[in-house]
Amino acid sequence: MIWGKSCVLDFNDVSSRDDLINKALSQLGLNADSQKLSGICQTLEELIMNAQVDAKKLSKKEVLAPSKLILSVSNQLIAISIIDFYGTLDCYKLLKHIQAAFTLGFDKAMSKNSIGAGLGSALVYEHCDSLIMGVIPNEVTRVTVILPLAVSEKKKQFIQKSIHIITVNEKG
Amino acid sequence: MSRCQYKIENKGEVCELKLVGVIDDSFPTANIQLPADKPIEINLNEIKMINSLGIREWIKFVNSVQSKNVSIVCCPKIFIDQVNMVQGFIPVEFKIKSFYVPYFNEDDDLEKSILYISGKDYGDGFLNVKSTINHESGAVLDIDVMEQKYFKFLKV
Repeated sequence: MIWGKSCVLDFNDVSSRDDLINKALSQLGLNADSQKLSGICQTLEELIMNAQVDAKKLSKKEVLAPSKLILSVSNQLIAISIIDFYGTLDCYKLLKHIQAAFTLGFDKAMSKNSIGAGLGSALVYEHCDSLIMGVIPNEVTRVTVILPLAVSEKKKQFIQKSIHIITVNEKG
Repeated sequence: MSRCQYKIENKGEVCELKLVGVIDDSFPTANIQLPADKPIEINLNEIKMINSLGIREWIKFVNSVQSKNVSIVCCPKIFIDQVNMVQGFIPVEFKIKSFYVPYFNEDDDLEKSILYISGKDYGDGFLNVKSTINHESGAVLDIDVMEQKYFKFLKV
């Protein structure tokens, strides 16, 4: 696959998600106010929030290196990658959240008391073409989501979604 | 500071709540004081996004509204998507008085949203879907939703 324009932005746990999303999309010549980008904006919001809030909360270490947002666009696809240096993502827990939302329903899958609602991964999956999660425990997490761009909703229904997990245990 | 700004205005018999921005965990549920004895109209025309924590906050908020006469107007697609996906996202007695339907022309990358209004475009037992509309440029835009999925909340 040949990717065209790309951008890389650093962020930390206090960065404004609105500013980050607007800046990233405008660097690629995309309009954040476009109706067609609402799913992409929601995906960006969930992924950035995960790195800003959940990754930090689950980590036992202090991380000074900023997280990274990488966006690349091709003709009708956009790839969003988020890299954080906490390495705390539990891919299988995320899979369970997605499964619960799409089998039990979002309302029943929603966590009422915990800090996270447990719906973020399901929202990302709802919009995505492919979801790729890679983790080296306590070192780095990279989540990449590939989404259709400027494609009609009718065409999106034919997308064969996929989830890929790349992980190593603590012994390598 | 909340990413969702709000304004409450009395418009004759009706109390209007206008929400602007992003519905997330900073949604000011506790600050929004609405009268229990007046009809409420919630205007969502300028809601840009709802995130996963916002879904939970929104449900808390609507369940705290005491008025029995609540209508929601100018619902953007991102809101209707949640209505269809999350049971209880709006209480059954709330009425959606108008909502946007997106249209798109993939070849020219043109988009436009059309406001569907209760009583005119849909209502008890009827829904008049416009499958195409004309753009100012002359291009024809097709409806850009899966109709069975998007209009599910109307139960027509």
